[in-house]
Amino acid sequence: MDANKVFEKVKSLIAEKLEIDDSKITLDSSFRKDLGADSLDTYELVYAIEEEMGVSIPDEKANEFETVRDAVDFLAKLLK
Amino acid sequence: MKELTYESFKRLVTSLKVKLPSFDIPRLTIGNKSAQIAVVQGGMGVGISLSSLSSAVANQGGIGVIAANGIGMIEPGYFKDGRAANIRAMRNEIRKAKANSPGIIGVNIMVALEDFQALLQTTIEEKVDIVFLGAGLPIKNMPVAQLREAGVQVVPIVSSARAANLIFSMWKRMYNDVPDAVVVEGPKAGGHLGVAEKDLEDEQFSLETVVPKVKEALSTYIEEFNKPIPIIAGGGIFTGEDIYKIMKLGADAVQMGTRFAATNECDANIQFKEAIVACTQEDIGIIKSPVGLPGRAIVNEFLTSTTKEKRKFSCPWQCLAGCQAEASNYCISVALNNARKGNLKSGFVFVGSNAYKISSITSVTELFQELRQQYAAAFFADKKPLFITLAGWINKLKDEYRATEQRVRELKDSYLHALGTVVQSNWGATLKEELKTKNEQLEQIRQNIAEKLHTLFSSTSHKPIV
Ligand SMILES: Cc1cc2nc3c(=O)[nH]c(=O)nc-3n(C[C@H](O)[C@H](O)[C@H](O)COP(=O)(O)O)c2cc1C
Repeated sequence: MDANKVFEKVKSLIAEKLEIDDSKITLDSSFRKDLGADSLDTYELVYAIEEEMGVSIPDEKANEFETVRDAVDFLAKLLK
Repeated sequence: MKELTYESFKRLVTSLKVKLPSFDIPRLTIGNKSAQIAVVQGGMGVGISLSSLSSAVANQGGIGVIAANGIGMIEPGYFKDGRAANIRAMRNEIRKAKANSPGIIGVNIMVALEDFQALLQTTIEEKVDIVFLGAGLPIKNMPVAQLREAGVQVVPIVSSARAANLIFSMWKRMYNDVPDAVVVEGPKAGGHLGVAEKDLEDEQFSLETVVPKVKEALSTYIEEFNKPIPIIAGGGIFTGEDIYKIMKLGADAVQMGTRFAATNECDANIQFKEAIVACTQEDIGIIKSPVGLPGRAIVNEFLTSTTKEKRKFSCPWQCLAGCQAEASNYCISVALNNARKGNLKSGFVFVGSNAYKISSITSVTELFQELRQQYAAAFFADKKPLFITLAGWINKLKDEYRATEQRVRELKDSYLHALGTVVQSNWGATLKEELKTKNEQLEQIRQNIAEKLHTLFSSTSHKPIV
């Protein structure tokens, strides 16, 4: 899966989980600062991504995701 | 009329030879582990709750908890090999606690710890009764089959219904199983907090608000997995009355930390305990812990100094992935270990928001007695109008009871007398018959009272011990 596809997928999951308009989500959006996600949101999101995309993301890794790009890069590499 | 007290009510009921249902703190059953008193001593990290405190609590009928976090610091080899020291110390403390008490012993482990899995394995090997898992979500890589096999009950610690929901829904999906109880820790607790600093005063996050919400969230799992999932509420619980009140809101048990920290049996040095006795309300504050969570503590010179100037410190090993020791200017494990040893110049004491109310160091036995008496008094005070009605009704029956009892006594004498006389007649049989009827009447009155009491008790949140 290429990075673009991953981003589209992640974007729709973020929009659904955080209940925000997907036009507000860019690669540079910070989960906490721009999208208003707290630590529980992040976990929920990670679990949803794992389920939807059939991948496994360790909790430690998930804690390091600052921006949407961090998550997308990680996933794109994983899904290569 | 004289004022009705718990004591006078008790006398009235027992004078009629009716058993008074228990006013005591109820039992707590988690899976196949059952404690007589629904009080859990919260795990207190870096050597504050070890085998001494936990076994003393278990011996009083509560649940005693050993804190795994930083436990290896009580061992000489910690600076050389922290992981190995942790496992060694944990195994030792579990064995000592079990040797000192036949009661229920648990272990508290922070999920975020680097050696979380290894510590969890040790609790499985040692077959502890319960593991309490906080500071992180115990969801991924949980050895559920092993825990079940060893009979270790699993109890996550949460501060919101959302977190409880997330843990339970993920467990269901991943393991087709759910945890056995939940600790709900509110914003008044001591130690690291699960509530963000800005939300600490917000009513929405208070223990009283969150407990009913968690109860609601768990109801579907209780039904689906067909097992009780008790809620253990903690943070700021100080008296038996506090216990009664939070149970009325839906909690099945409480978790208490600070009060147990100020007991003779607590594993910390006397200076640690004296600092709790000495602290005032103003001394208690919120700190930003190096582990990335807010925490409540006695804010002493050591803590203030860490926010002011660059300090030299040593970190034995990176025991927690995201730890910001460098930015915080200190290693929290070392600081807490110093405090445990009584060195408060280089350490500090975690406490709950009610710590300033503690005026002396007491024993675990005395603390349990106090809590149980206060609980009974709170229960009685809460239901007083009902008890007054009941007492009036019992008093009316009492005259009837006394008269019947008197007649029984007379009949018995006459009967015995009749047996002694040579004249055998129907007289003896008649007496015997009346005696039987009167005894039945007495039993009826007793049953009426017992039923009334039962109805009263079952209409409260209180679950009497049967
Ligand atoms: C000195 C101290 C150390 C603590 N250490 C831990 C810990 O290591 N892990 C944990 O989950 N909770 C810890 N706690 C929280 C307690 O287990 C308990 O939930 C809390 O103290 C309840 O609030 P209270 O102190 O107002 O009773 C600690 C509390 C104190 C006072």
